Amino acid sequence: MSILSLRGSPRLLLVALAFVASQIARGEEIVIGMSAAFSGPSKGLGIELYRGTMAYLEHVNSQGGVHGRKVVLKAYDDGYNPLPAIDNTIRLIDQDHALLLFNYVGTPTVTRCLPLLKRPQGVPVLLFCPFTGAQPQRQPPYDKIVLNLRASYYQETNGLVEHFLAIGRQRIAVFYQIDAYGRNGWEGVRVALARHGLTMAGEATYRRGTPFKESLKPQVDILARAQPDVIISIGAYEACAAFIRDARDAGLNVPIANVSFVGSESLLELLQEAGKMKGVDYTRDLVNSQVVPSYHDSTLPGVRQYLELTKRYQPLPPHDLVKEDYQPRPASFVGLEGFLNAKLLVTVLQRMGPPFERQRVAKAAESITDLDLGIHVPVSFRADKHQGSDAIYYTIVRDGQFESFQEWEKWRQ
Amino acid sequence: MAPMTSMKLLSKALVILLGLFGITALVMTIYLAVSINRDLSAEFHSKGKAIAESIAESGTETLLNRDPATIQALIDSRCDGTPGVGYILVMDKQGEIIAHTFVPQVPEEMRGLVRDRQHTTTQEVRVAGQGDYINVCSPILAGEVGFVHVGMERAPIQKHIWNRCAQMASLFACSSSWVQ
Repeated sequence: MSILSLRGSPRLLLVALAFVASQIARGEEIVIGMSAAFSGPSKGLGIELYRGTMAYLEHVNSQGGVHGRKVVLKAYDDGYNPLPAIDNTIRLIDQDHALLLFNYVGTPTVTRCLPLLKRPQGVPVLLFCPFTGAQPQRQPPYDKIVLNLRASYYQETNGLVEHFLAIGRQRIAVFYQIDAYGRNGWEGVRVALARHGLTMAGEATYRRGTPFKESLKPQVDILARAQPDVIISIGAYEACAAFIRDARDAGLNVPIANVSFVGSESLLELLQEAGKMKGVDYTRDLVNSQVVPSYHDSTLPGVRQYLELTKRYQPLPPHDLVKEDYQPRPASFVGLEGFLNAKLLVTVLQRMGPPFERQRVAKAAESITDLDLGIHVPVSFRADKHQGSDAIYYTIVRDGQFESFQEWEKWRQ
Repeated sequence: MAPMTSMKLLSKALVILLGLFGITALVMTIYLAVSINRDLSAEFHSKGKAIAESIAESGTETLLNRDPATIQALIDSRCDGTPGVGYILVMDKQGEIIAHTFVPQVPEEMRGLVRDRQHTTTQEVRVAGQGDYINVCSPILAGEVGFVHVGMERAPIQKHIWNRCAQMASLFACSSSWVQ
């Protein structure tokens, strides 16, 4: 009896220790909260952002996590609608006790959630790397509680306007989503034109959630009457693709520009499918601004790492989040942005060290100076500077994919 | 002869009765329509006034800083899920549009709306291809910053009136067939 117990005890002890260790580890996870579109016409954005982030987080966790703690990304679906985003935020803060919020997708959702983060009775909860370039989180009273990695829509639209004006295209019209996102981009174009003493040639709106199958002919007709030299779209991929299709079908063949939020690969896929069916090339004369470099640029170490880790881990969102059909992409601009966001997040957590408490997050983030995430863009934050990157890249469709381009002169008039 | 006369008298009385019944029903229907229109219009006006004034009060700072995204988020939050709100439009002092909810564009009818620097005003507006609205306009900081316009739809009121009238007509038809 005693021999048996002596022989069994080390095994039992190991099992008990493993159980205790797993319990401790579970208790010491670093929970990060995310609310994004995993359903509806913008689901591609939330899913690819999540996948890019998880490619890096799975790698970090497989190496032992951050200071021995696993980083857990707790994500909820808001369908790109403000009210579910508000509910998700409350749940993430109060029930999941997320250390910080991360990767929120969209301006109409983020702008409505911002007041929840201030928490007058407690410690503010920081929002890291929202997937939006809007102004409300870049100016008081919310600029101190949001840490943006990407450039703003004002910078994206200003860049587009400046490039088009430089090649003699002065009649700029805007097609936009009628909500906080679209209106922010609209304002960016207005301000950029006003600097040159110009006004918009025309404008037309669409409702958030408009699917690709819907006709946007009324919007095309309004803008065609304005006789623009170029159209800047501030929208999501389904509606923007529908607009491009209907514009080209109506003979409106001026360059059409989209900003980074559009989701370039999803837009391209819709246009290619529609084009194949009709025997038309809908991908001509498109230019998309991006806030991350092309994922085809393998000279950048950050891009190589993104491609390698995405291939190795092939991350997918939890099944309960994605209920609709979706074919994950091998790589995307949105995915690369999620990956870079995760690298920044892990850097902040490493600098912060335990205890991982909400009141310590801002100081750790603001200590970052000239950090290279692998794309040769130095990222710095200070108490009065909560936007890490000002970089804008321009892409056109070449050989069936969006690639970097500089040849604006081809559109000179 | 006597039964014939009494039959004629009976049918005459029946026609008169039905006529009176019809006139009563018509008067009642008109009265009902007018009172529903008056009550619901007052209710919609009150709702529109509350929305316009709340935006005008909470949007002053935002408008002064000229932040269209925040103003747009503010008007979207008032528009989303509020039955009867057809549109919200925020204009600056010069009449330039700061934020709106129109698709595919702001109708021309919105350019000439009545504005009062001191008071919230109401105006009936017909937008081509979209419908009729009760336009409620509130000044922001005595009109120095701009004006908020809230368009309450007339369509739900008209639908409600038609429903009630249809119910009255059905009731009348049932009653008259029972009398016959």
